[in-house]
Amino acid sequence: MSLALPRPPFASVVLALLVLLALVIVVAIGAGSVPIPPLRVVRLLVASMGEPWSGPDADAELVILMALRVPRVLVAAMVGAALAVSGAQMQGLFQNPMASPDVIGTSTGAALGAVLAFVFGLASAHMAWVPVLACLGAALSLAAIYGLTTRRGRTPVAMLLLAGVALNSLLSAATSFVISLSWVRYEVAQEVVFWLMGGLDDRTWTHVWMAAPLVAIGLAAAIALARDLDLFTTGEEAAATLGVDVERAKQRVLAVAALLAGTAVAVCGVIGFVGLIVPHAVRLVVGPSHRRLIPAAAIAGAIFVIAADLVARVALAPLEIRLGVVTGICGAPFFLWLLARYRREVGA
Amino acid sequence: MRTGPRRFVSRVLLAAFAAVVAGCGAAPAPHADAVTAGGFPRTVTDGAGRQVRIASRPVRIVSQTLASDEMLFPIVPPERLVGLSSLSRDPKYSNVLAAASAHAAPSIESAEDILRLKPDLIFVASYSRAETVQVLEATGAPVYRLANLDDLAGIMETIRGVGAVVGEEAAAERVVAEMERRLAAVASRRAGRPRPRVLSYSGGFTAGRGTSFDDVVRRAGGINEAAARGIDKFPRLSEEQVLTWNPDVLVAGYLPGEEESVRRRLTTGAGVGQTTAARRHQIVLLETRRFLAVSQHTVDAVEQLAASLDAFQAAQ
Amino acid sequence: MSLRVEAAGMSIGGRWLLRQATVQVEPGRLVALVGPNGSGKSTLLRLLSGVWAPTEGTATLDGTPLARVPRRGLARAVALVPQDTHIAFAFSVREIVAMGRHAHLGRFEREGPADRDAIAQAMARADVTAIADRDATGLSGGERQRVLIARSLATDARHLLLDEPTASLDVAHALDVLALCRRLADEGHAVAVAMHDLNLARRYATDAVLLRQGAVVASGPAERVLTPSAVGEVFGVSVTIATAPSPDGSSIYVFSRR
Repeated sequence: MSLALPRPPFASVVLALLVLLALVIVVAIGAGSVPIPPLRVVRLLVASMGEPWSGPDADAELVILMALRVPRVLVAAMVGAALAVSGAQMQGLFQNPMASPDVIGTSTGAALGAVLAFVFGLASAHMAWVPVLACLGAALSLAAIYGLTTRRGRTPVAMLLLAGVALNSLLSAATSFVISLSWVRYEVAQEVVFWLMGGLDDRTWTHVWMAAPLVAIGLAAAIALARDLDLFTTGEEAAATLGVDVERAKQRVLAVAALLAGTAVAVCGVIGFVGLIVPHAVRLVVGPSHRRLIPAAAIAGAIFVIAADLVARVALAPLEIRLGVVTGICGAPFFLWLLARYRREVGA
Repeated sequence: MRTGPRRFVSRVLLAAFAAVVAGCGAAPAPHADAVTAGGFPRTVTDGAGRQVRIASRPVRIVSQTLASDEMLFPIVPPERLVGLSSLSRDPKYSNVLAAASAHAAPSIESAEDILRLKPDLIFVASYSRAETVQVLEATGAPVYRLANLDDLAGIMETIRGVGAVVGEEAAAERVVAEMERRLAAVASRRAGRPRPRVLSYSGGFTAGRGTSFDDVVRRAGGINEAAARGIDKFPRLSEEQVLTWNPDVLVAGYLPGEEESVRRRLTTGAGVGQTTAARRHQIVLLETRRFLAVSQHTVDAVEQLAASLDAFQAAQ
Repeated sequence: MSLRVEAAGMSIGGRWLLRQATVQVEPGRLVALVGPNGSGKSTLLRLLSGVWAPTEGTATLDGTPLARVPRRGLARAVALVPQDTHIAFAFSVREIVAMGRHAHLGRFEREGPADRDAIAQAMARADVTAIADRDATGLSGGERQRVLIARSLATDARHLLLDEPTASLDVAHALDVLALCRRLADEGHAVAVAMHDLNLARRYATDAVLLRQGAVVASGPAERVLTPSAVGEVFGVSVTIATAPSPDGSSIYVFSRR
């Protein structure tokens, strides 16, 4: 299923996406309990280079911008890019446009790690505990997947799927169990359940500095693996004869996808559909070649999550909707649209 | 190690490294300033053991929790409060409803609301997220975290701490003294009387050790049955379990207007209705705002419970 | 430059798919690998291409075991055209053919003029230039097969291995593909084709290998290997020869059950 070839020129698509990204960033930074018009946002951003934004003399709007809104939007962008690219990788690895980053269970492992940080009181102690334990959870899940599926250096893709399903079930059950035990302290349980629904509230610059290197490494590695992933399209054997180190490539793709998805969960909780919808939709426009798909999906993913977070903050203000709820709501219409397209193509 | 595992280990190390770097940046350096009476700048230790440095007497105080609202109203002139928790205006939970409703300060919902007010002191809950505190601190305002308010001694300690950080130690001391006087009165009245077995059973949950309820029962001259059974905090309890323990007195909270339905549920429940407490109508219902209070208003609960225990004993 | 398996065999899960096979693929020759289903043709191709390592015996390129040949070097020397495969994503025909240049490019390198030339030529040889910009998932089986052949040609590999290339082709395209293979062999490529259409094998192959149940029954020049009796024996059919009035006076085998 695709748009008919020829496709729109790639450079134009990227340009359009970048312009849209800049727009959505400015609008998102300006929105909140203190609305700041776009021009003022730009002026404040420029001013932030020189002026202080902490202490009693700082401009209140500048403080809100730099302490709250800018880190939040930056984290949103990174989470969106990471999830979209991770999803693109999973779709390429499984040769299935319906695959998503959670298929192999690393997101669930990351969630369990974070929940444990809450339950042991670490989350109140220092804000780094949740992301660190989440990353640890993702890493351990990936190690488990390897251990379950890789024999003599070979990782069969069908086994990956099965192992992922098994691990997901196990880890979700473990997470629910931990939450039920923690219910005796209801503030903790409330924090946990809210966090699991995903959210970017109170993101700080520390979150930005923690996520940035991991996401940057992940994106760069994904682009490096782009052509290998393309070659999987006619099967692993064909890829091998064309010169791809198939098993290494699979393992690397897995690692990068897990790194990106784990980092996203670590700083944002569990949000769904970004890793599924964004690469799927972007592929329809720029085509399946990963050299193009990955950068385009990264930008589109950033736009998607920034916009979703904007809706989450603004739609029912002053109440903030959990981000996972907003992205989840986007799932249904997208799939219905896909269904309608398929019907039209098949003539049913 | 194969490529895959090697990557994760390096990834985890990276994350840990970033966390350590962030941690070094976030922890404020302790100061050696002495706390001089009425003197600012001063450094106080908050409920979480953190050193909080106050540059000058706070005149733009934001309180994010109901407990700190309730503690601040009697000790600080209202014009120094610029932000209150939204719960302070909620008739279901607030013990300072009249004062808060009449107050001009806005209700706080988010960190942005707080920053907008340009506070010079912010009170947060013991369980507030670390990143929220960090965001608030990054803007220069001192943040005071309340302690776990699990018993009346802790509550009194916290009131003194709040007084110290806002520069109103004398007023705080007066509030604490009044609490102690009332508690002593209850203690002397209940001294020597038999101590009934009391169980909290509200919405299916009970309160065991490490809760303010536990301390309330003890000071009112009763025995917390759940604590005696080794229960901690607020777990769910089945009616069967309640019946097995068969407490002498049941305590529950109720929202305004629900008093009768709560009482009915306790007296006609399949398990709980068969307990000694239910059959003898030895049920104490506390308004939620009194039942859940973790401030000087907790003493109201002690007094009400003690009076009921006296009444039950007299009726036998 | 010759590609060779010697006394090679493959066992998977305790079952032997091929035993003691010795086959050589040399430049200038088109070797037809012929045999019933399950006789080991695909296995033999996989051993020749290095996709599988033989359980017994050796597979070598110019005497070097395939496992020791650097991956990219092997990809530039040997190309395998698989049986029709499912393409999951909507790559254009040109993009698929361009994949053949993978072994010639560095990880971050882009296609250069030499690569573009190779791609254009490969598409021309396989007659897919007209559909170069079409979505590969929308092609007919025959078109897809020609695209995969073009991709193999784009690798500039000397050795071309094709697995049942005519299986999903109509008669005209089947003839075209095999004629192309024979031309490539005549130009100096070393070509091996697994096939089960005996008449096409007889017509286009220079050499043949006859397989039955995982063993090589005969190998050598095509007319000597593909005799009516040998073929009849291996396939379990009766073979009679008919001479058709055609320009080159070729004869065909007619089959009937014993």
